[in-house]
This record gives sequence, C-alpha cells and structure tokens, in this order.
Amino acid sequence: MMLPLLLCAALAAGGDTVQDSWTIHAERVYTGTGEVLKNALITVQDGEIQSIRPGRSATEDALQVKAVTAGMIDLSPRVKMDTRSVEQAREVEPELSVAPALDLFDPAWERLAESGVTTVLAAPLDRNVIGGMTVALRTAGPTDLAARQWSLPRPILRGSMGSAPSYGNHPAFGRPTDCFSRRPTTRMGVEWEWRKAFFDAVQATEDPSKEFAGAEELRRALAGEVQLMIQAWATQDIRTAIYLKEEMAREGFGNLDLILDAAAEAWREPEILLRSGAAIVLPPFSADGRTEDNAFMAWHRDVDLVNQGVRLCLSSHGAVPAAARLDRQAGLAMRAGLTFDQALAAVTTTPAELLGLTDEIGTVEVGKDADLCLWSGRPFEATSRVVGVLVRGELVRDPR
Amino acid sequence: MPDPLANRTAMQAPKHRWSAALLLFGGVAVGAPSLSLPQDPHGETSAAASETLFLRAKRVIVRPGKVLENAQVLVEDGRIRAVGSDLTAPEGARVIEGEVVCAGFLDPWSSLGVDQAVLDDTRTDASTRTADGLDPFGTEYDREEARSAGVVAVRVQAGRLAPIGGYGAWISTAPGTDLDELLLLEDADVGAQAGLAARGTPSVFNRVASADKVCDTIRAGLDYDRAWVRYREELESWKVAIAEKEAQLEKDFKKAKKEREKAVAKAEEDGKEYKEKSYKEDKPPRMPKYDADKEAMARVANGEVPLVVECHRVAELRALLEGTRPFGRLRLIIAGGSEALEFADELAERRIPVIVFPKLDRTPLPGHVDDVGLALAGRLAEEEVPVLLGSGGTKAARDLPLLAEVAIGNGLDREEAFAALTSRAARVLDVADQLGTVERGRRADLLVLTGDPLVFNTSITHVLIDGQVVVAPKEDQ
Amino acid sequence: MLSTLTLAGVLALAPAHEFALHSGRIHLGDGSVLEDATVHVASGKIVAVGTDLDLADGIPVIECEGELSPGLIGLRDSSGAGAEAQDNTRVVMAEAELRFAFNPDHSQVHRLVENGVTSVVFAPRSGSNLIGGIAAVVKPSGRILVPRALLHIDVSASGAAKGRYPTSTAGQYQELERLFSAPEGSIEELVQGRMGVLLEAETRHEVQLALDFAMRHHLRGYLVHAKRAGDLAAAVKASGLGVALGPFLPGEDPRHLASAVALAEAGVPLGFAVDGSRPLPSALRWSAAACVRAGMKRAAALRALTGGAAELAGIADRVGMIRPGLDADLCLWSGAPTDPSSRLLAVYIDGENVYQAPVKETVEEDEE
Repeated sequence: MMLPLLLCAALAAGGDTVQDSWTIHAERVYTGTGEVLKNALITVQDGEIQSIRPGRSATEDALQVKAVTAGMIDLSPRVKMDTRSVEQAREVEPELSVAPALDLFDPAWERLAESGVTTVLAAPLDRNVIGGMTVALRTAGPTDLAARQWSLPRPILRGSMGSAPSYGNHPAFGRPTDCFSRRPTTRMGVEWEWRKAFFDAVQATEDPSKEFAGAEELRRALAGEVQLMIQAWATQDIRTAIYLKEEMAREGFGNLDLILDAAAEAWREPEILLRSGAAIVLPPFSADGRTEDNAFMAWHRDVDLVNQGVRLCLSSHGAVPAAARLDRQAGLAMRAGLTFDQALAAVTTTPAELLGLTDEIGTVEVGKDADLCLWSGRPFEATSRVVGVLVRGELVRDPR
Repeated sequence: MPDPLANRTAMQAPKHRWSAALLLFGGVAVGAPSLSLPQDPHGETSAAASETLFLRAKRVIVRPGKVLENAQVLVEDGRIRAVGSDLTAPEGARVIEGEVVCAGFLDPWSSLGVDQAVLDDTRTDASTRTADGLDPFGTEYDREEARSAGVVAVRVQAGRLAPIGGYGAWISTAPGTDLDELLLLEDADVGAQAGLAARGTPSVFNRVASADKVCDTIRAGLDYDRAWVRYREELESWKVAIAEKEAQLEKDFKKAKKEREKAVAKAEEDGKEYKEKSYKEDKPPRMPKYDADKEAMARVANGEVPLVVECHRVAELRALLEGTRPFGRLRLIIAGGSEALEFADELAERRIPVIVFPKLDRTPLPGHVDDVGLALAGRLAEEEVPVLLGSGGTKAARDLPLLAEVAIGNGLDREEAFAALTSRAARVLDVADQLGTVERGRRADLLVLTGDPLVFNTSITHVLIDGQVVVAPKEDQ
Repeated sequence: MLSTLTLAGVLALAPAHEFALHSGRIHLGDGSVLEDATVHVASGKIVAVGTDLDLADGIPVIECEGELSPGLIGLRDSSGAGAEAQDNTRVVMAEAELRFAFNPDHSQVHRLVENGVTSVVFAPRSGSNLIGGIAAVVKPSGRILVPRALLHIDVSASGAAKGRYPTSTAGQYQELERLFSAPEGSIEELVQGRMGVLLEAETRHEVQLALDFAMRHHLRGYLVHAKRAGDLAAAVKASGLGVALGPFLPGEDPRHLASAVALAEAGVPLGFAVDGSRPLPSALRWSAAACVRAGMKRAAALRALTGGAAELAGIADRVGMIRPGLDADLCLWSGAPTDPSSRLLAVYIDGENVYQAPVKETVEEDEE
C-alpha cells in the first residue's frame, strides 16, 4: 500500500542532488565498543560507515569535529504525541499501532534529529492501559514512514501502570455519558485490566469464541515474541508491573519481557528489578527530584542499578526544553555518578540492544549505519554541543 | 512653570513629517546643475539612498485624474525631485523603464507590524501609541509580501477592541528593522470603536453606550482643552494684574511703608502677631491637571488628528453620528461601516470617510439590515461618501490591491478605487505631504507597472520605497 | 440628487423557450475560448455553440456586452443548511443524505447565484463524524442534479470524536477498514465506483494517510481542506484524486496558495470549495484570483471553477462546459471571468435568466 508513495518519494528524492558520501575527521571517536580512537577519519558512503582509519590529513571538504559518537537513541521521546495518538474509546488495544499518528511533517522531528537523536521508539500516549504497538523509526529521512521505520525482530507493545490510564474515566452510575464512563478509575482497576487482558487472551486459545482483537499480540508478548514496555513512575507501579510478569510465569501463561518506561523510582527496590530482569528507561532528571505520579527520582542512586547490571536507558520523555534533551540527560547522569562509557551506553548501545538493532546502530563501526553525532568537544560535557548529525549518511545538521 | 501644551507643536510635526525646508531644497536641486552630486539635506550621507533613479514610462499617474503621457520621474535621495515629460536622465542615474508609474498603494487599516496582543489589548487609552507596539523584527516577511504587492505603507492601530485604541501609526513596508526609518507618522490618528466586543454579541444598549462613550471622551478632551485655554487666559490677565498692583504699590511705597510700620507697632503693643496684608492678586490661577489621554482627545476634538472609529451597525452608527455633530472641527473617519449605507446622506454631507474592508463573508446578524458585502464600497461611493479601502485590521495588506479589484468588480469605479488606495488615504490620514501622489518633494514610494494599476492583467515590475528599488524583476537586480 | 437601483433585463420579462446568446468571447470551460461566437439554447439545454451558427428565423439573439462562461461550480457547500449540515448523533452517518437539508429558498442559496455559482456539491460540514453523509449535486434553482453523488469521509482531526470511538487516527482507520471490509449501502457504491469520495484531510500527514487509503480501495473523488497537499503534489497526482481548493481568504497563508499552484502544475484535477466552516460563495472567485496572483495559469483557474470541478463532482456530462447537450448554465461577465474586477452581469440556469445585475439609473429629482 505504501509502494506508490515510496515511489513518489524516491522520484522526488532523485531530483535533488544530495551528497551521500562524507569524510569526517574527528580528534576522538567514541565507538561505543569501549574503544576511543584518536585522530580518526571516518568515511561514509551509501548510508553506511565505509571505513574508519587513523589519519590527520583530511581533505578540505572533510567535516572537522572534536568528537564523534553513534547517533543517540531515545526510547521514550513522545514527539508531538497528542490525544489522537491513542484510541481512547477502549482501554486495551494491543492490535492498534501508533504508526498512523506519526506526523513526519512536524518540525519537531527535525529539531530532534538536530539534537543528535537519530532513532526513536514512538509510543501511543499513556491514556490507555494497553495503548498499542510502538514504532521504531529514524528521526530524519523522507516524510514517509515506510522508509524510516525499523523492522524490529521483537516488536514492542506498550501500556501503562499508575494513574495515567485511569485519568478522565468516571464510573458509569446511571447512564453512561461517553466512552469514558468505564473502568478503570483507580490504580487497582488498571492492574485488574492488565491481568484480565492476559487472562482473556490465554482463555481464547481454549475457547475460540472468546477470541478478541489484540489477543494475538498479547499471546505473542507472553511467548516472548513481543516485548512489553510498561510506563510505571512510582514504586508501587513498578512492583505491579513486575508482579504481573511473575504472576503470568507462575500461572504458566508465559514469560513477559519487560521494559519499564519512566521508571523514576526504580532505584528504591533494586532487588525486585534485578529479579525480573526488566530493563528501565528513565525520564529526564528534574531539579527537585519530583516527577509525575508523585515519584521521586534520586539520580545518584541510579548508578547502583547500572553497576548491578540493570539495563538502563535515558529519555527526554516528551520534555521540550533544552535541558531535557538527551545529550544533557547523559551529562546529568554522569554528574550523578555514571561513567562516561555507562552514560554513552544509556543513550546508544543499550537502547539499540533493547530494539534488537545492534547490528545496525548504536556503535561507530565499519558496516554499521552512518547514524552519527558530531560534537564540539567531549560528548555530554556541559561546554560541548552537538554540532553535526548524520542520519543514514545524510547530513541533517552541518557542523561547518 | 511647565506647560504641557507647549509640547504640542513638537508632537504635531514629528521628524518624519516632511518639512518645508526639504521641499524648498528639492525645488532648488532640480534646477541645480550638479545633479550627479546629491546632497542629503540633513548632512548625513547614506550610501543606499544616494542612488539616482530615472523612471521613464508611457504614462505617469501623478494623482488620480492627472496623467502625464510619455513622462519621466527623477528620484534622488529618496525623494521625487522632478516629474515631467521633457526630463533627461542625469549621468550615472539608473534608468527604469515601464508602461505606467504611479504612487505606491497605502493600506489605511492594517495590523501589519504589531502582534496579536497589541491588537487585542483592551486596556489601551487615547495616549497609547501604536508606534510603541511595533515589532520590526517579527514582521519582516509580512512586509515583504505587502511591498511585493505594491503596498508601500500601512496604518496600524493598537487596541482594536478597546473603547479608545490610542494613536495609530503609519509604517513603511520597506525592508530593514530600523523602526525610526520605518515609522512614517506616529500620530496618524486616534483609534476607537463602537459596538465591538472581545466575545459574543453585545446588546444594542451596550453598543449605543459604547458609541456614546466615544463622544463623551471627545467632549472631555474638548473640556480639557478649554480648561487650558481658560487657564492661559487667566494666567495672562493675572500677570497683568499683578504687574499693575506691583506698580501701584511701588508708587505708594512710602505711604505703604509707614502704614505697615504703624501696624507692626500696634500689634506689638496689643501683644498680637502681625499679619502681612494679603492682596487678592497674590493668588495665581489654578493650573489644570495634566492628563495625557485628555490631551490626545483634545487634539482629536480640535481636528489636529483624525478619529478613526470602527463601527458597523445602524444603532451605534446613529449614536456616533448624532453624538459627534456638535464637534465642528472633529475629523471623524468610520472604519468598517457594514451598515453605513443607511447614513450615506449624512456621511456625504459631513464628508466623513469610510474605510471599507471588502469582506467575502456576508452574513447579516439576526434582525439587522442585510449588509451589502463587497458592494459596500461601490454603493457608498455612488452616494458620494469618500471611500477608503483597507485590509480590515488584518495582516492581509498583501491582498489589498486584489481586494480593491474585487470592490471594482462589485461596482466601485476603478478611478475611485485607485484614489482610495493612494491620494485619498494619504490625505485623510495626514501623510499627503509624503505619500499618495507622484509629485515633486514626495517620498519616492512608487510603482512601475506593466499597465494601469488595479487591472488584473497588470503586474508590478518595480517597487520603490524611499527611493530604493525594493522589488525588481530577477534579471534587473 | 437621487439615484435608485432597478432590476432590468431583457429576459427577466419573459423567459424564452429558445434563444441564442452572442458574445465577443465565450469561455468554453476547458480552458479554450471562442471569439465572436454564439450559444444556441433550447429547452434549458445548449443546442450548439460556434462562430457561425446557422440559426433558424425567429430565434431571438441576445447581444451580450461581455464575456460568457459556464456557470461556476462549488465543490463543497452547505449554503442555507446551517446546523442541519452535520449530524453529530453518530460517528458514522453513511446513509445520511444531505439533499434533505437543501432549502433552495434560503437567502444563502440566492447568494450562490449572485456570485455566478450554478451548481454545488451540497456536502456535510465537518463535525465529529468519521463519515458525515452523502453529498448531493444541486443547483441553486432548486433542482437536484445527483442525489447521491459523493460520500464525505473525514480523516482530519475534526473526524476524531471526543468521548467516543474513534478518538484517534489509528481508530479512524481501524473503523474505516472495518466498514470497507464488508461494504454495504453507500460504502458499497463507493468501492464499486458508483459514488465518489469527498475526503477531508487537513495536514500533510493526514493527506498522506488519506491518499493511501483511497488507493487501497480504488476510490475516486477529491480531497477537501487539504491546504498543503501541494507539498505532496506527485503523490496526489499518482492517487488519481482531485483537490477542492480553498476557500481562501484575504491574508491567506502564502504556503496554501503555493500549494494550489503546485497541484495545478502537477496536473492534479482541481476545483474550488465554497464552504470552509461557513458558506462563502464570493470566496470562489476570490480564491481563483488569489491562485492566479500566486502563479496559477488563468485557464487552469477557470477550468477549476467550471469544467474541472464538474469532472471531480462526476457531473461533466451534465454541466461545467459550454458544449451541445449540456445544461445551459451560463454566466455573463463584464470582462474575463477570472478577473476579480469583472462584474457579474447575468446568470442562466437551465436556460433561465435567474440573475441580472442591478443597473444604475440616475433619476433627476423633480424640482417643484
């Protein structure tokens, strides 16, 4: 169905002469594999990293920068996700995808790409218990989703715990007024909806008459073919998510592979987090530690999580100010105690791993996609800035 | 003693108004042999403004109704130096050829140059200056669009919904962000409205009351002015009286001194304090309290600056027209005037201009006269009401010439429409000394066209603002 | 001095059954022009048009001082329908027929005629309907030309309901796909090509999704409200859909006008809409003039006002051109029809003179 559009996009792109090969000279290349290359020349051709070799003598048209890292990956950017991004008429909608809501014409994508974020995971707004399937996509490229979307080996289904899904719902005493006259109206109700959804999905395998839209996605999540991203800010919601996973395992329904989004209070109970094997995505650090759902984010404690082996990603979580941008978040995480390598991993390799795209993105290596972030100094330092960005070999921000 | 009214002359003739000295200079320069060495009358030399331009056209529309065939216009230092049919291009002048040359279009009712907050401010008052709300930075693109369409200057008005909006300003659509250069006249008018509301439809009583309020404010301005006049007269006679008394006391000095000494001795004797004799002349007349808003309305009441009242419907129009009758020197202008046809006779008789916004929407409000929409301008002009055309307080200055063509298509005479966009707008709103005609001494804000203005086939090839070519065909840049 | 306005017209007195109009310039509606030509009208139809017609004796020939064009066609209008133009009770109103809301006696309908509009697609206004109803093609004279012409589908933000399904873009398409998977009624007519679609999509993203949807189901028809569709001109062209432009207003965002020009240059079939959120018949010619100012070719603009619009509305065999066999819907202008300073002098619908410009007559006051 996208084919004609793709064709048009290709034809349109053919008309312009876009430079598709670049040479970048960097004083430091932070490859993301633990290696730091000094005075390296990176050549980019056809959207891929062609070569990385030592060398000082760059040609005149080479892009000269202080440092290069892989393009950053934000698993919770919430780019212009308005109320139309999620179907609010029902609570549980694993069958829907956020794809139709992604307006690639919105200038917010351009700003995001220019800030050094090259791949994101777009998710429906947290107004539903189970909001639907997420889409991983590049932040720049043609205004055509098919051309920018990643095909994930294990797609990610997204839902919420806490107060957000019940927001706006009201009990239908007497006559229902609209589609919000319904469950859940509390955290308890949210939890109930989660368990019921999985229970029903499993039931339907025994009784086909009980099959419903989205049951298949839920069963795939139980089978581990689909990862489950749950937004949970506060301790009780993080627990609820993990208990849900444990209950499903106990019942023999399956093994949920969890990513906890906006897990501000993950630091409070590291043991259950470790027990569950869940990965976490942190919201932006706030000045007073307070975040949504009354959660408190103790940033200096997050380093313990990483040291104990929790996979941790950073995110901007839809916050617009420059301080919430991913590069600044990595800087703040370092101030909170993360090493440079840990901070770099939290915005590149760890999210790439969660997406299952380690062969394509996340590090600066020959053969990988040329999603690169060019810096004016040491990355994440307060005095450094993202000065250049390449997305699949296309220069979306010019350092010159 | 400070006299606030002493400032009036300064306000009346801000630096942007064309001065007689310049006009005189212009006259001399044409006759002077050294045309290639233009001098700035202020002694400042500006590289950009120094280009001498020589426009040659089949027709030069000097002003509506006066056309010179095969004529030329000489532009120097941003001014029109000469207009004639036997001029030759001075050496080194840039020659621009065209079919027709006419004055740049003026939009007497625009919001270009101010943001929505300035327009929607309901707390403005008569002394509020729109000029203070102008933002030359955020509006560069709008101005570019406007001048490309041939609109060289716009009148903007803050506080459209306030009872009294304050001083409106004429600004140029020239490129650049220097407000001093863009601002053509900072007190073009005082704006007001009757019958508008930020939301909802006000009742007829409220609408009439708002028209009455405009009239009361004029009255207050007039009273204020009279109070000052009275004060000045009293001050003069007080000065005379006190001088007379002093002279008299001087004359009777010895006698007075003796009398005083006697009185002092008497007081001492009685053990009382001596009180100096007071004279009724000691007391100076009371100076009225200075009030900037009333001061502005005084200028309105005296006809120094026109009053532009946006007013649409019969009830408030009637109240406004009746209420303003006693002010003989008031220069009233109606903006909008959707139902003004009802009062065409009075408007024509009192020569009250109406700024019409040719609006495409034409939905009469319940119980009201069906407004005639696009035909309004034509119908008013037919009744001999002086008609102006404006883009209606929006940023649509770019579309004003096209709106004028629509008005022509709906019955307005083409000549009338042209006058409305040029000389009449300039005259009614006090910039005729700078803009609106192609005459010697005016600012060189001119259009070069491929045919007659306001004809659909015609396109504008060059736009000059302040003697600089700001729009030109690509090959001519 | 006293001046009055009176209605005067040769034909206002008695509508002739058969007559001919002779004019210096006749715009046929497809962009071509005949100089010094005659249109022969009989029983409300155009019988012939040409430069040297052989007319039988006794057929009155009316000399027109001005230029003739086909009557203008508005691709979306709800004049006179007011609140009746949209029913919020259900999200999908696939069987609601707008012709039942058409009141030819309403003053707004007279406005259409005063602006030279002789046929309109009488369509639902956007509200919170995913499918707003079935648009009819009507004439302001009261005649309903096509009762079930186009189905209004709204995939813009307004089509996403508040407080009921679907509230989201994903839900909108989920519901549409559900309806189209087992099409019945108007939707069946749509997928079978017996009815066109009036597809409402505003942002470029919405347009992109809408084009995809239309191609998936092989729909014909046109986009409305798609103010920046020109940025996707190639994709629109590939979809085979047309675009109803405007209505544009004074001060319109120049990108919207540039979009219209881009669509015209890409060869996308175009027409103009009368109704944005309220009927603005005078905006039809304004929009065309604004497009011409922005760079659209005059012939293309006139075609979009007449023949092109008729094709999009699926009525090209009935109206939209001056061609034998078509309805005698004609406009007489004082100059070129696309020139905003031309006056509309007369309008004929089905050969009947339904509008005659007021003629200025100066009457000297009696001095007694």
